[in-house]
Amino acid sequence: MKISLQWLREYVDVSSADEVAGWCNARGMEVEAVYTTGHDFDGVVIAEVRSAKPLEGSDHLSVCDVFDGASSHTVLCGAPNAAPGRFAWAKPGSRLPLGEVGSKAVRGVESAGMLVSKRELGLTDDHSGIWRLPDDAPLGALLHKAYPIRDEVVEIDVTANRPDLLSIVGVAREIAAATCRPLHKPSLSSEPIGGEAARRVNVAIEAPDLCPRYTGMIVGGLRVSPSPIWMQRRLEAVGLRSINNLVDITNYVLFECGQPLHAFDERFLAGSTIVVRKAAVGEVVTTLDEVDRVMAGDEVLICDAEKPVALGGVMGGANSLVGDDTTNVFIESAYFAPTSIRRTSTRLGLSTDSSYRFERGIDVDGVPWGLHRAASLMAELGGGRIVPGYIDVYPSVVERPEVRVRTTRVNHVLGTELTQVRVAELLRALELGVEPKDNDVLSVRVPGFRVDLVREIDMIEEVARCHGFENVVATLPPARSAPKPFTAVQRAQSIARDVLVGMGYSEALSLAMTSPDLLDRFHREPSRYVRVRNPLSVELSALRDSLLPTLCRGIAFNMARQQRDLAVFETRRTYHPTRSGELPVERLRVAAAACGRRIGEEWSQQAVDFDFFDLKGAVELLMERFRITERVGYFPISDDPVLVEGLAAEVRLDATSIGRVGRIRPAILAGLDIDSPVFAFEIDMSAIAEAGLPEAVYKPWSRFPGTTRDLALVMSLETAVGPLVEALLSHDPARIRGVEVFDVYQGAGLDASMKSVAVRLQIQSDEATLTAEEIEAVTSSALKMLSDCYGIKLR
Amino acid sequence: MIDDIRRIEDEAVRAVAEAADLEALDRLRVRFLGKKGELTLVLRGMKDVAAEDRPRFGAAVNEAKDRVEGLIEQRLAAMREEQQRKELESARVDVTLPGRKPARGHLSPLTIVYNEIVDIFRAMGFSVEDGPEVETDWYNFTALNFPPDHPARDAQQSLFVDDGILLRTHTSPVQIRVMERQAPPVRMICPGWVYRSDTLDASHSPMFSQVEGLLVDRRVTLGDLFGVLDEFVHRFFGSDMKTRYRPSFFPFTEPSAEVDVSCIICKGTGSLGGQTCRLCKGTGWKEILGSGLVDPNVFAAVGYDPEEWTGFAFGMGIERIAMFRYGVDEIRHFFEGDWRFVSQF
Repeated sequence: MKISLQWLREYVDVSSADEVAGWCNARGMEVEAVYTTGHDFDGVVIAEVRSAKPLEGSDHLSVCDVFDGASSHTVLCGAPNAAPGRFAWAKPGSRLPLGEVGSKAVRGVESAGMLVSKRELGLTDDHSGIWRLPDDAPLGALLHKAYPIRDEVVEIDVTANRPDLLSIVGVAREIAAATCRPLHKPSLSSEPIGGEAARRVNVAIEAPDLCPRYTGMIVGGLRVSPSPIWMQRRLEAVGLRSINNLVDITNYVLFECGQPLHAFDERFLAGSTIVVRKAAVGEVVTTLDEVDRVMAGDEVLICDAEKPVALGGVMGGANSLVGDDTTNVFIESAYFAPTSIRRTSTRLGLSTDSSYRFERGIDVDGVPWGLHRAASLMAELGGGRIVPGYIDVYPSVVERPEVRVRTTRVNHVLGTELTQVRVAELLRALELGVEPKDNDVLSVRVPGFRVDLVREIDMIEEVARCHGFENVVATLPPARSAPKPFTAVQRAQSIARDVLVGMGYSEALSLAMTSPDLLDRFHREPSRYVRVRNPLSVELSALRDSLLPTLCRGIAFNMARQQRDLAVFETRRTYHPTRSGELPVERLRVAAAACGRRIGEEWSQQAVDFDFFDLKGAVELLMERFRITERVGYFPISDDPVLVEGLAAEVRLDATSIGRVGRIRPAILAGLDIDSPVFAFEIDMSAIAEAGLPEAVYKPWSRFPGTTRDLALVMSLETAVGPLVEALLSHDPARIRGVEVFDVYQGAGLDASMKSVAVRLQIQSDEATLTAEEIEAVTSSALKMLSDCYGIKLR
Repeated sequence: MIDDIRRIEDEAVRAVAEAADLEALDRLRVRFLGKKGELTLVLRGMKDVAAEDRPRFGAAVNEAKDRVEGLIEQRLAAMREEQQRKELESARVDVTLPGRKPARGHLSPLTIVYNEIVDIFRAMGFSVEDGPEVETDWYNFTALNFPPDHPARDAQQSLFVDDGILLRTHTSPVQIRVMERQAPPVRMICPGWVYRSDTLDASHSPMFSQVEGLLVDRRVTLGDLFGVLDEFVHRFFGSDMKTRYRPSFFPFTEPSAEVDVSCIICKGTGSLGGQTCRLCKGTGWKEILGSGLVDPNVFAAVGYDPEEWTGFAFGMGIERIAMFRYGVDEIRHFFEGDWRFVSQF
């Protein structure tokens, strides 16, 4: 909501825009901007165009004879509305937002300055023509001296609970209350209910639940013309465009007091009748923006004897508009039910200044005031005459609530020590009716414009606001409990971050929603991921069921920017659909991906590229840190849709798959414009957390010296080494304490189908120093087992 | 005999001085001091010495042995020193060459800020609670006093995945879930990801992260809210930071307040070297939090008696705080994973 300072000053005395901004912030209207609109233009004067003739040889320029009250000037003008009348004329040398006005010649005719549009003056973006001024505009006067051109604007954010602040009067009332200054509201002479007006137009409400109150007045003998400049400028300051005096007045009153109005040309009301009814399903209403709108059946329609003439509370109809030849106007001022208007506006995607206010709730008691205000402005500015009386259909009066407020409760909630008298004083300043019931309780009657005040807590908030948050003493509540420990999932996530960052992986945080196309690349069959029904774009319409696709896309993003050596991880949730109508399952995962060089080329070392074992090592280190190494195994997989066969392993915790590690298929990467190998893993951390995160348990080490024995084992190329290591470890756990694979060799000296694997056994006992014979026995027993079970021999 | 000793001694002194290396010295040690060394053999000739001369003779031999021994040790030490000096000389490096840095990963600045916020609130007794990111309308809106068809829902445009199931628009649903399963008092924060129907650009993101807090107890006041948030601001930003509480509106709190802190760039003055401060647009303040006392309707939804219990809730956007702290100009940097951004933290 934009507040024009000129306009605001009609209702309350304020010293400056900064003062207004300060009060707005302090009272709950967040200030978004403070600025000046319009300038004092030296050199722009009011002048009369005495004649405008086409410039010979030009299809759009006119030669105007311009008289400034003292002398005549020849001015060229390209505007379509150049014609006799009074206009704003920028003399040569005057400064406009676009620059300095010079004199220029076209086809031998020199133009003395220029006739200007509102846009050229920087007032609005209206460039449809030069700015026509009233015929009685003082000739030769400086424009800004003759009219209020310059204004200051305070733009505020009005919260959804305070529709009363969507008006100049509402803001003025709040500032008046804050500053204890009087609120000046224009006094209006009220017409009696009924009278000639009621005899001329018959109003019936058939849907009182949608429209509890409908009022109307008739103004006749009007002449449509431009609005006075002060009104134009005020409407422009609040962001509207001036149309003509009648339309402008309805907007002016809406912004002045928050009451939406609609003006019908009385000629178009068939049968001089207004019927307020619920729309029929499929009924079509053409709104004034010339759009045919199909009704769902719960909208409220304003109809005449034959047809709908307005979509109630949202927008007028195209068939009953005020036009240039309108003379008699029927003004509607009504109260529509907020929920109904909101549904209509949301469904049609049509939000107007009217619907915005109705859906938040307007002042049901203020409906006639807005009506009278508009009628009297029309009579005054449109040369019209009010048809005596007015129509007010209000079948069941909306009662205003009376709220009990306990002073003790106020202080209990706010931590203040306010007296009952002070509480009453603060509430009264807001025009609330306050009566003490006993020496604690106040009874508060709420006026119609404060739709947000219904409960005691609402009043307590008003007291806090008016007392001033800065006057509430900050205190610290005593803690009565200690925080709960972190959950296993929270701990697992934090551990994974620390481990991976320590290993050189950097954290990625991608949007959780991505394109189905991207996810599909990582699946073999059309998959069942959770989809957003109303996405902003298809690119953001699927929820991730894996972290790998977005990690890979992040790599692609960097590769496109010449960053090719990357190691990234993400630990976030993935989403997995369940049954329709139920929440999806969310699992915490960790995934990492790496490509390019693990060690860059340096003067002191060779470059090393990432490979499978870097990623597997990262997984192993994670498992070690989670202290579940013994329960985790790695198994080759051949049918993974994401990972290359022969470079892919499934990670199992006990017998359950908890993830995979390997090289991403080049075909997937090619689709993302990645041309180098990417290795990655993804692990379900929820599963790890569910398995528990064991604490470290101290084990005393052997007091006796240990030794090592190296064995070079020959086996077929296909033999998996992992199970052999496991077998060795479990063969004689009391004495074989560790198995290291320190070389894998194939080539000269070996059959082409064989490889040699060098393992180092760590042999040690807790009982005694092993003798050479005992050590020999351990090794030969291990070799026998390898030979018996796997057919593996020493090289 | 004494002359023999002198002669051998002189010869040994000369030879030790001339010894070229450690091996030569070793040989000299054997030659003069070994079991069959020259000085050792002289000592064996003791039997031929007159009894009265023997003490003097013995002393002379031992003196000579000590002297030779000492000289050998001296030479030895000098040679070792020289050898080490040469080794170190050949090990000289250009210390201005770059060092060998192990690979280092970087946490997202959001995680860094998140961890700090969590630490501060845990130190103040708040537990960390989680909840689903895909939520029901009840938890996300209705229980939080956003009635259906209420304009307050406009501020949180939602992404739906099913009828009445949406990506949570704030972490407040966790408050409801915790209060449903736990009797008061409650002292918790719920950090996490939230989703709104916004296009990703410099200042908007369809996903961002929040930390919300909830404290429910007997006699919790608005003053307590201000006290806890002041404490947080002072711990996170520094004790010289000022706070400003402005009345506002959130459906689930009443009274509600937005919280500004003094701008860290212009120190709350609004101007920087005569220019309007760009970060705070000249106001001297930066909004970082929304907060308020828990609305009685929220207590009603979870079965807490609002007469007995009062509480406050607050929420902050981690991106906004990280942008404020690190001077990050575009929110999308947090989510694009650009190495040039990530590697700065």
